[in-house]
Amino acid sequence: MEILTFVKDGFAALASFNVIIAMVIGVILGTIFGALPGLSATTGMALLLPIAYKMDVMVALGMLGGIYAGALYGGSISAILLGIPGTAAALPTTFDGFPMSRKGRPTEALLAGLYGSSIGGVFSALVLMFLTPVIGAIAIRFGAPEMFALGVWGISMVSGVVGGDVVKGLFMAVLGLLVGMVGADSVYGYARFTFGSIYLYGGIKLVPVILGFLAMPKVLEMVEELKSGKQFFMPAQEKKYFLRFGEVIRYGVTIIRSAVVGCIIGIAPAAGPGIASMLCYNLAKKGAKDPDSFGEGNVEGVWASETANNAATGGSLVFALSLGIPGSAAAAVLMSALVMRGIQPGPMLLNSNHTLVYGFFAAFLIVNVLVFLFGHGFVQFGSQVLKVPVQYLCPAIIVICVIGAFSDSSMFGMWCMLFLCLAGYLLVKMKFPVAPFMLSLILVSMIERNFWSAYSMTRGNLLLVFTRPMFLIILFVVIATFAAGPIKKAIGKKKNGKQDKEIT
Amino acid sequence: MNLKLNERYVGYFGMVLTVVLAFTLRSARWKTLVLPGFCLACLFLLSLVLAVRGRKANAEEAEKKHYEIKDIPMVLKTLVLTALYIALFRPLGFLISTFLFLFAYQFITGYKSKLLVKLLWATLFPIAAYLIFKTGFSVRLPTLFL
Repeated sequence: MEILTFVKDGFAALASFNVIIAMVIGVILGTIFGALPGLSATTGMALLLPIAYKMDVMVALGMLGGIYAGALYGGSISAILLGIPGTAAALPTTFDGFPMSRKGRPTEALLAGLYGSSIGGVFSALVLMFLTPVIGAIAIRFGAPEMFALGVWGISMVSGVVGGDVVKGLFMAVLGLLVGMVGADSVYGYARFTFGSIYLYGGIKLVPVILGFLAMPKVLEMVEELKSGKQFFMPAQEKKYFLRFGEVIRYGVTIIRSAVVGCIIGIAPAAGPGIASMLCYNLAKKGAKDPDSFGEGNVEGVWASETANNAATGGSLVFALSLGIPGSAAAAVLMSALVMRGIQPGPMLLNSNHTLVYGFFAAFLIVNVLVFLFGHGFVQFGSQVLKVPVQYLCPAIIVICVIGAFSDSSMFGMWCMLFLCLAGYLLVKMKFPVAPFMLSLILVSMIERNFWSAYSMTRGNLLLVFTRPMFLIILFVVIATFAAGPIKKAIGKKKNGKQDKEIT
Repeated sequence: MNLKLNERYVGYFGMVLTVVLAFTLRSARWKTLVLPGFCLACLFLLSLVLAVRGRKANAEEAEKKHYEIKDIPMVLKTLVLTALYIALFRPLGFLISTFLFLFAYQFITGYKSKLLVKLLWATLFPIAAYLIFKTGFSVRLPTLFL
């Protein structure tokens, strides 16, 4: 009952024209930030922090929340239209969203991305609103062993994305692990695979890798078809302005599963929307009737990825607000906005300033609704991008990729991007799958760092981690995920055997 | 002009890469070596499989599975032009280097349009991008005198 009072007070704190305008501006700006490769929610929030300082605190939180939610949705726009994930969390969206664009179904993919993002975002806002005290208590139990187990679960998903050729898939997964290990190791600071270069000491950043390995090879594929006269993008099959209720319900199981799992993964510190979207994409693929259609333009893949990455946002904010520990870079910026105003996030925040906290939760719910409303405009506008002649589109994408790499990592990042473009292009032409590479790259530092932290915690006796309940729960989930496939097959065989017996 | 690719070259490259990377870890302590060592061992084995598989494939299988780059001159021109663009990005500044890149690119694609259209596109797009990124998003782009 107390929570309902807090929620009511939270909504009451938003009853101001300035707050609503700030949320709208935040959503629009955030969507644009998310759509442009190299920029992200964190960049957008950080750039607006000085302006937010001068505003009323609820106005500032509303705008920052709008940027965060908008950027996560915006990443899907470029992922679907051009195969370039605007944010790392939109990476799995490219697997099916881009093929759908090529087949003349960009609007359907964009609408699925929009609806998935909105549903995931609203779900995570509701979880934030009603379950923060409970989730805070669970979140504190995530230590190094649990994070290591989560990373292993993520890596185990490689089996779902290796594609038809297991050797090639594993080759790319191992390559991703090695690229992720470039730089100083987490234990002794030993410079691994840097070849004496100071630029590599900090590791290879994710943005040049995404742009070089994913985006630029797609541009080169378009360039290959330039003189052949072959259409790279098929003309749109039908005009679509919104999805019907039945079209959403059809993927109800995927949506609910992605929302719940995404939210849970978001709670784990430093796991974040990127890992949530990849894991939920793989879960959707494993649970699908026709898993081979994933990667060829199955809209269910878009639903899974986008619902999960927005659902993870609420979980990552719980850690920041209830414990004062930022679980992601975006959460850290949000915390900075509060600290600048003399408000200290942490266990006492809920009790001492519940109007502010629940006001933010209410704002987060509203911005996700605003994403849904304004997103329809972005969908229609975005579909027009594909009508630009490829001769203009290719160099424009190259310029945007160069700007993205420069803004993230300066000149070194740009050269990295070009080198990875050549390597990625050749590998993609030889049908080496990119997904295992990206999955391993994202997870490797989390796995290694937490493994050695767990090793130190247990003083070398790793068997002690099996006494931790949260670790055992995650281990059970890992085993269940592995076992689900063979059990499903065995049940299917038994059913077929029974049917054959009945026929004879 | 097409270029045929074979996965066995990836296998050879993988094996060489493993040796080179292993050499760089020669003075590392054991904790630093655990995960990279495991990964390098896996990479070597997988590269060996790719190399052997690529060699063993007979002519018919190779024909079925061959991978090719369809228009290698176009791809190479794009890569070289992009490399030049990156090299000139800082010395010439964003606006001039992007103008030169976009202008030159239209000639290599062979897209037939009037010179005025080419110039307009090469001028307006960098200006729009500059305004959006520098003024709108406060992304610092290099400038010369423009």
